[in-house]
Amino acid sequence: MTDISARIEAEAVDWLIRVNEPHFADWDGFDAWLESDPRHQQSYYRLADADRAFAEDLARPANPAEPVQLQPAARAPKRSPWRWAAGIAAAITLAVTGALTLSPLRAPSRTIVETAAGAERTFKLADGSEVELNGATRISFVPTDPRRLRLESGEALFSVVHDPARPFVLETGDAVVRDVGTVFDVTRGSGNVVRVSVAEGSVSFEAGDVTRTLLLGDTIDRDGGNLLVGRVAASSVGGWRHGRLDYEDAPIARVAEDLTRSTGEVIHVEPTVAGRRFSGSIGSDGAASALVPHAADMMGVKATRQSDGWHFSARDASSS
Amino acid sequence: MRALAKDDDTPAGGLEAVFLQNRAKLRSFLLHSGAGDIADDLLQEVWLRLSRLDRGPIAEPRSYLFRMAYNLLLDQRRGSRRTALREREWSEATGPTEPGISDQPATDRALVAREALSVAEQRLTALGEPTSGIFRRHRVDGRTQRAIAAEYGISISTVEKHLRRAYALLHKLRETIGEV
Repeated sequence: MTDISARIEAEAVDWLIRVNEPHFADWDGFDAWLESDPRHQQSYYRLADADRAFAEDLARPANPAEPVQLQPAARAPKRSPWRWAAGIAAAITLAVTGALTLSPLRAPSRTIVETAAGAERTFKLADGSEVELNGATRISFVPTDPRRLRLESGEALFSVVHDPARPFVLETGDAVVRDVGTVFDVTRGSGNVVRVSVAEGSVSFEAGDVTRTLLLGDTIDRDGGNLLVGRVAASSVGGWRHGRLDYEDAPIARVAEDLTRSTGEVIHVEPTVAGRRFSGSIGSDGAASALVPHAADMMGVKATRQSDGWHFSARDASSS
Repeated sequence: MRALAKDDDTPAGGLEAVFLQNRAKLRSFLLHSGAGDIADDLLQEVWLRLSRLDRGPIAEPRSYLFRMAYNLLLDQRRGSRRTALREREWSEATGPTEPGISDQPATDRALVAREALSVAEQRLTALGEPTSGIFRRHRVDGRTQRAIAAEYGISISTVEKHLRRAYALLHKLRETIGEV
């Protein structure tokens, strides 16, 4: 390899490391580098192709068909990151399916189950599976196919009866969650957001070209093109049923959305505070008039009641 | 806790405007990335996806759009490699070998590529900890270098050092892995 091509290859690696950072923003700089020499583009994208194949393969399991029963996994303390990281690598699987599948056109005769914001409702399927709906939630299904539901909006907790002959399928947006016998929570939020958390058993999650198997305590947060995989305490999944909302590093916009779902109160979040992060536990039972300002306090934002609902904004004395 | 929102967060309905403002830039980025004839198709796909979103505020909308275009380009590259591979497999199954084209059957090449991937994974593991864990945290879990540094209790530059070791491995194996 000549010195020049070695330099180009080194630059390609540099750029790949930077582009793979989740909040990479120097697209203009990257574009300028690509443009400056046709060899840059070739070198970079050959590497990026291999990188993508490698990243996907790393998450692929040894035995994809094996259902896993886990004891509730304690979160490893921050002092032993190696053990935690190894555990995560073993618990996550990924396979690639292909092009985005659009949601099918609605069949004309779908049964609808829905709740208003602030209400909750549980219904049972013919096989004994149970679906608990949070507020502002809408679920539809074709009665002749009771093992396939669609979460059109909102949040629900699914306790699915085991039946390997007929896997339970939940569609939401362009995502598909498949399960064999499990307890999992799904949210379909605004902004093309889909969140899935598993309290028991395992599900497979597919959206676009991503498929992942989630095990007990896994959570996935798909926001447009961004995918975040994390861990939660299994006991906190579906906490809204017990008037408890637990958050770790969640944007305030999302907390507000959950509060609306649970209380029925409209909450507008000013853009300046919408992306701020919050970690903590919020009670969602009780009078909304006290609950909403209390939640705002916990999150360090100001809540004012106006004619069109609550407004969360920055406190005057503090800055971001 | 960190504040991600900026004053120019794009409200719902604004992302399409940002797209239109940046369309030319996005297009030339795709062309500089070797998209060629399909640059416009990719842009169209970005546009379609935007119009299907019900959006909340997005910080860094311009970046979001570039990221979307970039991911679609990578998807398309993989898709066309797989299509080419399938076509080769088919024509090899049904016709004679053609002069100038590798005699190694397409199926074998795919198998070699998959083997190369598992070799790559073994070599990554062989780099030991924390390198292997850091790379997985970064590529599989999508954590930022800063978050990884905090988790491991090391500096960001040390995280980057470990990432480079892993990427160097990838670089060596890219020819065969890239076939998948």
